[in-house]
Amino acid sequence: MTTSEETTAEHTPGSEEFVAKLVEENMGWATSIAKSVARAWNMDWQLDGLDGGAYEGLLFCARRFDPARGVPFRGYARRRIHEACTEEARKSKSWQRGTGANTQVEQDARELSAKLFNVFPELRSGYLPSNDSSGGDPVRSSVRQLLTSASLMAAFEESGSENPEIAFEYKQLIGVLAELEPVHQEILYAVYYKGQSMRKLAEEWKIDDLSVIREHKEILRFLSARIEAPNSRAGLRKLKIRRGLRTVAQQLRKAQHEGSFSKFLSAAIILLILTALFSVTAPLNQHMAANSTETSRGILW
Amino acid sequence: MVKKIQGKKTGRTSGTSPVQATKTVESSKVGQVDQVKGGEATDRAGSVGTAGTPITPELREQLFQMIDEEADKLFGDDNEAAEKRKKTVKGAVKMALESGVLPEEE
Repeated sequence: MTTSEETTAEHTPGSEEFVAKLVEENMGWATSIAKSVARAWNMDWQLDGLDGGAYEGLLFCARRFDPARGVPFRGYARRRIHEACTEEARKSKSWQRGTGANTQVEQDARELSAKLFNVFPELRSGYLPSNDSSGGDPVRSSVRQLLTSASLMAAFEESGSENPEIAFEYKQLIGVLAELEPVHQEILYAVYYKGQSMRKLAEEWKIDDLSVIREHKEILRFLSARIEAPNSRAGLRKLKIRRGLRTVAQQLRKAQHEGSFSKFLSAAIILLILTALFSVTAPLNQHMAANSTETSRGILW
Repeated sequence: MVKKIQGKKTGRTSGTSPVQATKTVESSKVGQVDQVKGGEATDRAGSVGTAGTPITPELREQLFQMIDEEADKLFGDDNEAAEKRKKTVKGAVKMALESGVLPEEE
């Protein structure tokens, strides 16, 4: 019998003794999680308060742990402790000042990695995102998912940039996204633009959250192939909609919803046309205004 | 002309059996399954269907190498902005994975 099982056997879950025993047994382990987070972000686990975050997360979970659910304590608590550590890290002065991040690129990478945890919460538990691809290396496929997801986040973050190269690439990306089915566009729009969780989106759509999570992974796989080799077979194929999302897809089609990124593109095209028109007509208007001024002067004199 | 039907004539039918009343078929307990599913989704580390390979210290180096390789394929080397974004994205994914490496017991 492990020490946790002994604790469960000896004490009533939720009691002070039970909580104290769980904290005592798992404090070292929780500290290790704090150190992992600090190491990843080049911070100090004590000076930057991650130890306090780990303790609070551990205490929170120990109070709520119910062995009757059949889940081991560490499996239950790990994600929450990691979350508590990352929250403390982001509140710290080191984070705010960019201490430990030698360049702007490193600071941006820190911010982006924090966002990745929201999209792939399994990372907090020490797992790579799963993938349903049959054949091929599942680990490599998971890495591609993470890179594609982080690229999308970075692109949306940079969308307001005045750098023409970045603006051009952003426009290309929107073009690719606008080709997706409306339901796929809405998943990306909700997760990457609005920062909504996939579970929340599934609740709004009244469907199983696993359908959204799995479809999201398929979308990332598709985009990765499309961006890497746009003219390849994988890049040119149309992404199918899984069964769990077909009802939502049909509802969107019935409502003639073209997809948020398609709307962006349409609006951008209209803006470009208007800008082009203005640039042609403005000199013409000026010329006409100048002529009417001369005519009115002639009348006056 | 209609062709005469030849062969042995069929005998009388034995009659129809009475229509059976509909039976209640016990379906799977969807409610309970949903509860279990919900529990797994929120409580288990690596919930069903979302978690893949555990990130171990041994796998870490291999993962970092893969990140470099896949990022080069994804981004290429078009311009300065793309290069900067590649570094940011690579760094972010490495940090995210590093923070999840299974800790050693203190």
